[in-house]
Amino acid sequence: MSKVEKQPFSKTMTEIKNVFLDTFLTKNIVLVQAIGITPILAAGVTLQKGVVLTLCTAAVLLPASLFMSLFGDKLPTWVRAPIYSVGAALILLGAAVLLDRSVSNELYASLYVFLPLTAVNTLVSYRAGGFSVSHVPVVALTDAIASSLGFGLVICVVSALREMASFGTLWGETLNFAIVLPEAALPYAAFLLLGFMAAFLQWIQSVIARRENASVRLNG
Amino acid sequence: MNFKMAHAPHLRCSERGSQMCADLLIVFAPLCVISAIYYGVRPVLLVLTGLLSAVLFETFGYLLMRRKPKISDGSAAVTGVLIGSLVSPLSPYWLPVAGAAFAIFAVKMPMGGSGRNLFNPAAAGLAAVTLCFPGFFFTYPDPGLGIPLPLSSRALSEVITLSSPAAQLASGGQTLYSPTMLLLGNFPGPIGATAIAILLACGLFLLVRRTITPYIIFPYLATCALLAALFPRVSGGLTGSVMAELCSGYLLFCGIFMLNDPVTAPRHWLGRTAFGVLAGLFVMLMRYFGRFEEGACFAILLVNAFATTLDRLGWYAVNLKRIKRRRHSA
Amino acid sequence: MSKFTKSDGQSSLIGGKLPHHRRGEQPPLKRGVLLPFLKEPAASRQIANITPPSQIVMPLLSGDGSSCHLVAGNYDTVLIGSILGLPEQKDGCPVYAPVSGVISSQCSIMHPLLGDVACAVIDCMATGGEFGRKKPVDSLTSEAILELAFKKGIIDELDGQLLASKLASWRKGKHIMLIADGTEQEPYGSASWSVLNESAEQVRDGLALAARAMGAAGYHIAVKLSKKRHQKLSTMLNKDELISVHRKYPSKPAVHTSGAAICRIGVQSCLALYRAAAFDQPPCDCVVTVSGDAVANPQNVRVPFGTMVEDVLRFCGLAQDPEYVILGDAMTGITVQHTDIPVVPGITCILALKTRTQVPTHACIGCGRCVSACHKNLLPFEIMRRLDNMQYERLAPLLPEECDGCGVCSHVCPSGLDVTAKVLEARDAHGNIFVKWGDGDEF
Repeated sequence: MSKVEKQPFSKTMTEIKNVFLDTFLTKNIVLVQAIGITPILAAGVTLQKGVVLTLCTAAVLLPASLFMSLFGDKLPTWVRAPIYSVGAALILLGAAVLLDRSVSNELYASLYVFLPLTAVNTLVSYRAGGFSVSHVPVVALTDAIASSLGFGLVICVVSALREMASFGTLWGETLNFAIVLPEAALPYAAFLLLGFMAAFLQWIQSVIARRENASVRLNG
Repeated sequence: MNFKMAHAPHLRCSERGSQMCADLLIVFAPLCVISAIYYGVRPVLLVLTGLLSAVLFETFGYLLMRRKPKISDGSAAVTGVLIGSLVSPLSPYWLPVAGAAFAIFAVKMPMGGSGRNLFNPAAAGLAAVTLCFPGFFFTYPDPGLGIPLPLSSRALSEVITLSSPAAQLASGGQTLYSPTMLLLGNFPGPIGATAIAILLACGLFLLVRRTITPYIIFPYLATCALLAALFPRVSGGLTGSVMAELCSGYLLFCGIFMLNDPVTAPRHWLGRTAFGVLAGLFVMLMRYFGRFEEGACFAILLVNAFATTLDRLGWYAVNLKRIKRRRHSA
Repeated sequence: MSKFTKSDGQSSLIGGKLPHHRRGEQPPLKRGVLLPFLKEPAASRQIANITPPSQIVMPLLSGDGSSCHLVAGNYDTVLIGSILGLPEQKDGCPVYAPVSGVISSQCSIMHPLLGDVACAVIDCMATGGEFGRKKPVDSLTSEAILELAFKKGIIDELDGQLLASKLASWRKGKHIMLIADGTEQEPYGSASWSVLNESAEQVRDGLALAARAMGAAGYHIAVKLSKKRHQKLSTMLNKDELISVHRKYPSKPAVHTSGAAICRIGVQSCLALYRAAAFDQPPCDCVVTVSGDAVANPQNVRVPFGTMVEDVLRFCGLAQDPEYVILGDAMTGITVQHTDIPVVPGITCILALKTRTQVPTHACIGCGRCVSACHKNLLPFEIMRRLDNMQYERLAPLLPEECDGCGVCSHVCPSGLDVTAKVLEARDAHGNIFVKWGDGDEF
């Protein structure tokens, strides 16, 4: 059994806010850390799918993170991954049944294999298996929420843009565009969008850093 | 008296980067003329549209980045001309514009402009328009008629189209075009890529001017020819298969103009050789298994991603002994 | 500055503890570039003797890099060839007076090649003059020649190092061809050509002495031969003593005997060695090519050491005000801001340029010209890129320390980048760029 030292936690709102902002924006899980790209490329084609995937990810990640934060350090390393994977698969089974029966059969069918794959997504294994084990539950939970939201933000933007470009619709509503590019549904379009979004994020951060530097120089 | 300071050497070669681009632009002229003989003024207009739009977009991009536009290096013009001469003579005028826009705004400028792009902008622009508007590609008019194409895009539906050699290769069977016809460019295909004899002459000129390097183009063509000989797709013997594969589509054109783009190719001779072989392999794989009849631009984008790695590996492979000795002595 | 690296040992000669940095060089690669000629009209003119300047400034720095102190006080008269300064340690090599005159004062100047150096200012009365009668040189032993070269402080003009230490370090090598390098591959420079034209036999005899001193397998004089020059030289020398070089710069002269390592010394140092042996004459002057588009009369001038560059330029006349004054040749020379700099051994060329071709700088387009031109088989563009991207820890595998600063990579660059300067920066930092980078940083 490997003993994991919990990271110190000061129990202030600032730290929770920092953790949240870090994972959500400044070190965005997709755009900076490049985790969980596969579902965005393959399944992030319409906004509906994007939202469903976000919800599923959140539904898996929150309990997994909480569990791993509470009991992860008491478990041997080799048993951790199977436990949260099996747990995630069970949750997803319920989610799949719910989606299939009461929301939309078509949506479920079109999500294909990517819904069950969320259980073994790198996003889950990286945050739940890595970050949460070494942090106290409050921080781990904040991080899980921020990860889900960060992933959700990216996949929703990408899938909305791709839906508009390739089908001329948004959330299934027709928008009457003159030109439609069906090829935007191919993975390369998502790669391009992700690249531009990542560059945009970096640009914003560099602008912020420059302003901070300027103010430091003015004050000091 | 104070004199100016400068780094040695104080004698510089008078060759400029812009001259390399000027060389490329010069050799496009005969290609355009040949195309004009077969199809009238329309292909020339398409090429010019590509050129102008690329230069305009590049200026705009530099202004957007708040940098001084450097159009004089000519790289944007070459990108535009490349895109313009690889579309079908039947394509609408906005097609090269769309390709140039993608090339400049999505591939070149975000990477930092000239000299910093990882992927060949022309190949990327062409790949994007091929993917987005496949309907406009791979339908070519019959050059044998000798009737100039109408200038307006609306009257184009009347034009008789033929299947190109590349399409025949893709469908298998017997090729209709004799080696002489292929050499003269008397077959349907993209604007600038059909006149094989002229292309070869251009390649020779550029080789002599050292604008393109033999280390890339020869391994590339050799690999393509070898694969064509080993796995023929048409009946007609070894020569027939090799000739048909090398002359159809824009394999040769891409090999001369896109693969040799200095920014996206390796610099070391061994890396360049490996780059050429890999490019030939990818191009032929794209042909054998790809979705379109011609996928050279996709293959070039793929192989561009390997350029830096191949460069280092090539240099390390050649200098392995030297590096090891240095490490032992240190 | 590559040419003027100081010798790093102050070791005694006889003990043989000398740096072994040049035990023979790599066989030449057929790389490099073809450079314009630009040697005319200086190359076809006779060597001119400079009109004695009113004052010279002689650096008190002995050949092995140690500083000396004056043996005479102010207002003392010194004779040409007499000892002017003695080094601190006993068996160092002294500094000789290059002219006859009166010591007027001492000063300290900042010399671009030597650094901060103490100098003696001498009011010049006479240059040149007769030295002792000719002595036979055939009986000198190898040790005696080395001792002589060391005591006279003969400096090899190829790299600014002490000739004696170069020869001594090569003594341990086996089967070495010694070559007097009179190729003058760089544009403009023609000093060793004119020296060879004037006194080829003496150069040959000096070279033979040097070869005997280091125990070389043989010796040759390397020249760039045109037909006319070949005829003229072969009347003075044996035909098999001459060898030629490849047309491309920088190519090292090659001998077609198998397995022979090649060591090069300068033509002028051969001449100085012969004169030291035959006439007991210390080196007092050197032949300098003065050229460039701002110079009215490009020619080779015999200049006493310590003459100000300004006097040299004035002697040759300036057709127009130069923008750049360059010490050294066009490929590796360094620009100076002012001309109040004395000529020191090692300088063979002074250029005054009005225009200097510099391409407007673009980003590196990756044409690979520098890679195919580099005769050391390096990746100059990649060294520059890693330096610019501050990836200092990744510099070492690219072997920047093998660069000899020939300047070819900058020369061929179509984007007009100072590639050579960057590679030399990487070379000279020896992996210590971190420190340098941290110093000037304001954060």
